[in-house]
Amino acid sequence: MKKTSNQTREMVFMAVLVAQAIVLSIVERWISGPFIMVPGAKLGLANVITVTALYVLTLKQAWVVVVMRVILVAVLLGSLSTLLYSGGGAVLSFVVMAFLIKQKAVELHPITISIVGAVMHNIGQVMVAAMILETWLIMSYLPWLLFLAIPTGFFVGVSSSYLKKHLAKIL
Amino acid sequence: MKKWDKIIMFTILFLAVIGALYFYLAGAQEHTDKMLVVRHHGEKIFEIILTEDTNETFVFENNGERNTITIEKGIVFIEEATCRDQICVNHRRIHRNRETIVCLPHGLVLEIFAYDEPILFDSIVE
Repeated sequence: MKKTSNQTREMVFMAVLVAQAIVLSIVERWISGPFIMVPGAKLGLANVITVTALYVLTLKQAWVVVVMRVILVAVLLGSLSTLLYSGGGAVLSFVVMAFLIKQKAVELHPITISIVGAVMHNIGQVMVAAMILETWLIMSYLPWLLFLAIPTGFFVGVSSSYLKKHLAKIL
Repeated sequence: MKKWDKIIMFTILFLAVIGALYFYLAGAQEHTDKMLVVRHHGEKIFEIILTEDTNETFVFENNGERNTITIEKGIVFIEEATCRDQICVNHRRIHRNRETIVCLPHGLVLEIFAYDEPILFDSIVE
């Protein structure tokens, strides 16, 4: 991605990622069943796109993809509260994952990055919910969400490495 | 999987276990009485002392949004709601200290507090 200087090409590629993220969010609505034990827990499929974008795009481009995704998903599928909740999760998760990828001190496996992203998404969302609903007890969901973040983050990490491999063909 | 991947993974697991344990122990404590508090966007709209004989229904209504909160023998659940995700209706029934049911779309929170420590909770929540 970074080697091509064609602006239109880059823009189309970003649009493709945003479109993929929206489709994944729709698919996610059909399969949220397996996590009935923790109310509202999700697979976090759209995070596949965030992780992929962080690896193949520049930081600024990846940020645009994430912001576009959050806004468009809220407009298409949710409401203003969706925007706040998923926005809080997405922003925190993006910032922490971006930091972990760009820092040079230790090299982390993409799956670890994705798991940390899932954890941060949950923390961000619960923090926004705690502020909006003015209750700290909502934090009681956090331990279970952290447990779940490991398998879901693992799945997302593996998926995004496959996506990266296939996207390389069109870059 | 290198050293730091493992450290991060164990940290997450460790925090999850500590957190789960904290809320589990809070719920396992014996109390004389418990109280159910219902809040709408932080504002207290209903509270009731929970005993084993508490049977009560409270209907929350606001601009066409409705949640029917039912207490059967001191066990609390949401029987019916008009929210789009129905997470609150499918939520497991609660009766232990510090258990909650949340209806995010309606901004409704049900919380159970131990009756002998209301001052502490009020100072945190308000």
